[in-house]
Amino acid sequence: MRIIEYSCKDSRDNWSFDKISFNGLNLLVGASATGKTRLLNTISNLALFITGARKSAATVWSIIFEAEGCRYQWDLATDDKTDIAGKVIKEKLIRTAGGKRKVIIDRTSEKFVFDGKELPKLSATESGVFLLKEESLIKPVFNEFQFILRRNFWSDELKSLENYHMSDQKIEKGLDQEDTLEKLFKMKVGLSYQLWLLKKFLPEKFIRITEYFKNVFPSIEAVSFEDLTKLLPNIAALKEIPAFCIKEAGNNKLIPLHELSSGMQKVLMVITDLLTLPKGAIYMLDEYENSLGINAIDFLPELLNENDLENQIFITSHHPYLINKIPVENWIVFHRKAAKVSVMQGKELARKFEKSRQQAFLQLINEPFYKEGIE
Amino acid sequence: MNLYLVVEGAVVEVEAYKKWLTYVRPEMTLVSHISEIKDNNFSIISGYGYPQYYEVIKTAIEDVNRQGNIDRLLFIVDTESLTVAEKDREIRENVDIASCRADFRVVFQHFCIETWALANRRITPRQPQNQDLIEFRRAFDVLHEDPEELPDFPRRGWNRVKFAFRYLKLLLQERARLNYSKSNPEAILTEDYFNEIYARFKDTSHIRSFATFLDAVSTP
Repeated sequence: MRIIEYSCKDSRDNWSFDKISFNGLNLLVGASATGKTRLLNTISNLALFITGARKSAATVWSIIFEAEGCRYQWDLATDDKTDIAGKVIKEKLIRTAGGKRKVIIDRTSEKFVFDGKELPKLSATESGVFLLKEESLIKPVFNEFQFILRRNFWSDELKSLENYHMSDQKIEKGLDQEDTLEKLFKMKVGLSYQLWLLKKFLPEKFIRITEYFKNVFPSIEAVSFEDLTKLLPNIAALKEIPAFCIKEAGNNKLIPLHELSSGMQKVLMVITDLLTLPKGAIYMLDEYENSLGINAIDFLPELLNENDLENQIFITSHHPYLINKIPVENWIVFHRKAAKVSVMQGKELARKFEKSRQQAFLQLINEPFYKEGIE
Repeated sequence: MNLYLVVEGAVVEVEAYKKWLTYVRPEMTLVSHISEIKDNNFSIISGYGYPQYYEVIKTAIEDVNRQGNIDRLLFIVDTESLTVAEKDREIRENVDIASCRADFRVVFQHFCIETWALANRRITPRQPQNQDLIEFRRAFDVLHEDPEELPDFPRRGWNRVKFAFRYLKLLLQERARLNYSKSNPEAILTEDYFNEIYARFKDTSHIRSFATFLDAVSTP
């Protein structure tokens, strides 16, 4: 899936995002508190609402996206300012394919029309896409919204990735088929087990990830998997618990994933994420650079450029190196007046910035729209 | 006439020259980027401090040469602990001024922009009540002595730049209940404030470095 255009308004706190056009790679920049993270929250919340994982209230979305060769326009509104489970008061899903336009869902509080036919009353607190996910017209849309991965680092993201798993036949069954990446994506297992599964079922991916990881941290001589019960004698298990370990130059001790520095963990996680995204998946990375040294930051633009990733990616950053290395065309600059967020598209800035040889980041921080980020 | 300004600071100088320049040259209009300079325009870029601004000024010379419609390039810097002559020497060692096809002018804020702001005689109370202000004034009276002569303030471990900043901040707070900071220089941006600095320059032999600004923005 690729999001082409997006706007959103949340009436509970009056925040609104004017229409934003997205590229394949999107670098969200702006002064602190201009709404970058909040934008990602609204997209995540939409995906969670659509997939039935969460209710919605008092929010209006308008989104245009492409999936499997079709273009969809979806307008969705939920009511109720106080309740976390508002009712859908408007939902319109239109598909355009091969120049033909088809209204798939046309719904109000009173009436629910699907593919031209009026339906009996259905749950008002669920999106039509969730309710009708088994229908062939809807299935592709529902599926696409399950492939959004959001990473942030203010929660226990890294802690949860440290979780180890016993090797499990049930999990591994079926992973040797074509859709291994899709299955792994949905599993959301700990990083160590994910890498172990990759080594077993997609060894080329595993080698690419670990080679990249070693390039970022040249002190790493080798990587391997050890049984955690042997590394930590106080742990007992019925089966092997594969623990991803590194061995550094001049030190014979194997260091398991949970003992790696948070910088190494973050880098390994982001490399693994980016190199194992299923086709069409969307990836969101929020202020990745926090508390990282430059060696753990500068690999990211290289990875994004070198691998010519086909997925849509959203990154928020304040880091000059990262910002300078990503083409201005891919920037989205945020500005907030009270609760209304507007953006300046990178293409607009690029026309101006290309006329000066000053570094792009320097021009950005001198740009009034950025500098006076909050009015 | 078109001007391009490379200033040292990120906020104070950018905001100050946006306003001050139009008080001297009301016919000039600010534009947000060098590429938007057309006719009677000026644009400001921050060099984000020493020594980063030397890279910015070198690139600014390239931009000015390529663009071709800029009459003067102003490089606005604090002298800090140096004399004007020493700062001038440092700039000539770091910047190939002759390569600039526009008229290259250095504006020396001797020794920082707060030094000029301290020259406003209306912000200095005749009988200060604040103990800190009494102490500052005992060390140096900016009302009667040249603010450019302000010394370090070793009792608090401040060099003269820091002393000038703290002195100005306290004066504005005491006299007008105005908050002055590096991120909020609003208090010194008004035309009245600018006129007071100009009057001090005209009426006395103080803040001589202010002439480098007036000369740099004067008509050819």
